[in-house]
Amino acid sequence: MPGRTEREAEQAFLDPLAKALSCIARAKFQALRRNGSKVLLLEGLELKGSWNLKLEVTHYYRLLSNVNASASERFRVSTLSYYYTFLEESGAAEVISYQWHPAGNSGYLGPHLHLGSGAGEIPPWLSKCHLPSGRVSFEQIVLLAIEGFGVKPLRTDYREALQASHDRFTRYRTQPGDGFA
Amino acid sequence: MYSHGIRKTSYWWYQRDSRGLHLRFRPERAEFAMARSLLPITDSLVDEISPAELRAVLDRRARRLLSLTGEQFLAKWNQGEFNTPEWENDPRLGHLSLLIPFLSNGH
Repeated sequence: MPGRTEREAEQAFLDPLAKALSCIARAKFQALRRNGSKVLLLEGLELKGSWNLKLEVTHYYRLLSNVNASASERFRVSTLSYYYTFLEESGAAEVISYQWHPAGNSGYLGPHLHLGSGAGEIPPWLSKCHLPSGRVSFEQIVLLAIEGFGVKPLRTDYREALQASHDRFTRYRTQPGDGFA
Repeated sequence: MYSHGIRKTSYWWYQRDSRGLHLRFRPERAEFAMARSLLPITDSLVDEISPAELRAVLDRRARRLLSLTGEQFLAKWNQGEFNTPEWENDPRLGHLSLLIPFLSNGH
């Protein structure tokens, strides 16, 4: 998400996430900054729906600048990695976890998902397996919660709001070679 | 002093008297506005937490993923006990290890 300043870019990044979250919960992300990187967290957010689940989010990002970009897009937030995990109601077992951690210890660099024991009888080798996926947005996770898992939306216009925000994410997500460093 | 103003911004005040409309400056409000501008703009969107609070997050996740306390996980991590082939590419390890750099105080 671009901005004239670091603060504006961060605001442009966080605002859609907060709006998406407001579609399913009255909650806020937690955040911690260190050396230019920041981690956003959601801890065991209870989701009441067709199946009662919990949502856990870990989203790492940093701010980048591009001196060649227009003034309005001089700064941008870039995602470093994410973990979007649905847990069973007790929070003890994962059901499904969407992940992307290109700089982690894993040899698997692309976006993927994991199935967990909370989804039912899963052989251990399968729960460790990186199942390829596209890069997902938090908005898609919220939409999955509502339309896939039956979580009651708190906004009647949730679909339009999430779609607009997801489109913006798709437009502005950083890509290799786009000049930001 | 400012009670007769007809419109205010954060620290400028339009005041009308018998001689017309005047723009007044309110230094105490300017000081407040400048102080507020130095706060993280994310304040209203997220709750900032401390490394100590993140340590509690790590503890909960280590218990769930590895059946270890956060301290036990960190001790094993620092002793290199996860540097074995069986832990290579284990998604649970990656999940927890990315939190480690945020546990110390930084800027």
